[in-house]
Amino acid sequence: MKKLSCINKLLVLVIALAAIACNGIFVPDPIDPRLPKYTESGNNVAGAFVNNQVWESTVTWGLYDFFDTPEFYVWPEKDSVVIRFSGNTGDESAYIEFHLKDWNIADFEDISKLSGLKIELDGNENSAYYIEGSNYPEAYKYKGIGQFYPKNIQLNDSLTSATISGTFGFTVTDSVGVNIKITYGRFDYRISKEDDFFVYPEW
Amino acid sequence: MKNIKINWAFGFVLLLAGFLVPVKSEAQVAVIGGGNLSTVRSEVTLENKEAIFGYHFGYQLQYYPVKSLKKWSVINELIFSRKGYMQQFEEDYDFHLNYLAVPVLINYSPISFLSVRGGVEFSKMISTNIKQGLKTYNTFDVGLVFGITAFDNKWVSIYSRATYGLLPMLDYVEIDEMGNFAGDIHDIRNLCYSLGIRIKLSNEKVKLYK
Repeated sequence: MKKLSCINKLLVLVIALAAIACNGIFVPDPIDPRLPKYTESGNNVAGAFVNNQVWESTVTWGLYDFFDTPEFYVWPEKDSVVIRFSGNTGDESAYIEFHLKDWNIADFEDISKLSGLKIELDGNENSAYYIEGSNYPEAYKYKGIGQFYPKNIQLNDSLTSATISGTFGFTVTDSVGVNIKITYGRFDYRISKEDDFFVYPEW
Repeated sequence: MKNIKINWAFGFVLLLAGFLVPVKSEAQVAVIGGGNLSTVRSEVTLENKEAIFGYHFGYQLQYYPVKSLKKWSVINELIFSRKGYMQQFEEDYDFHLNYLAVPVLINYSPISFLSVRGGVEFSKMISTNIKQGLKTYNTFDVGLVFGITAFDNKWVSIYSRATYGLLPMLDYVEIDEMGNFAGDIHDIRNLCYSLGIRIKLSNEKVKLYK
């Protein structure tokens, strides 16, 4: 019985540490506290308005829920680079993705090429997607137009991790002409080459 | 470096309040406490902003530096004061800003049971309920204070005062809906209305010298 109690305590400790390690630091924006404050500290957090709802990267978890960590992934795909933020809008999981063409990002350290650039999302070369769980993969048909601004990307000395911070805003129009406006977007992540950057083999 | 300078400035003000009392004067010592109704004023739009209730408590030293001007006195206080505001959306977002404040006030009593007072309040934010709030907000503040006290000649008196913050609490960036950085923000100033009671520790004026 005593052994079982120790195992339980250890399990709780591991869960607590995992939660602390995974969850982002949500510092409320001093103008609109529904969004995270714009920071460049690697807080592992992102937020935006989706029409009048809040999309946010940090997700609460419960005893019987799985951990939904504030995920951020970057990967090269043919002649493009894909940047994906995962989060929730209301109760529904939702990705925000940016597909940027011809930036020659093949390795992790190449992401610094984007630092400080306001990238116009024209729906052709560069596009944004708002993908809710219920409309995947249909959402890839509708290309968002707007702006992606990775204002600050700082690589560490060994080029194995980076802090990436910036803003975004775009509008997606679906097949029946309904607009989804993603506004006041901001993000601040500390990413690593090992966990957040993927290179997929070509088919 | 800026924070260190502000901390030194606040320390200096505390020293002033504590030690620059004219030694050859009569004084009264009291404890004070009461409620705050506080909000902030700003040029940027803080949507659905509402005032919140807080509290304050501390000690007060009132002294009469000029014997021939018995209606005039100087008040030093050291108080803890909870200020802040809230924003109401689907849920309420309370911003509790806890200050250690040192008001330095000039008091005038035209009649024995009523007095008016005004001066400045130097304050330092010492804690907040906001995550990384002490990094987000400027912690040093200076405000103008205006107030009135009833039954000033009694053991227990009632006071009311308004504190009008002068310094911006927030240095931030303005971000438009597309994510452009539209400029710097130096904004959001405290406003606080207080109502409280004062209890004299001695109803007699105590001589600060022999």
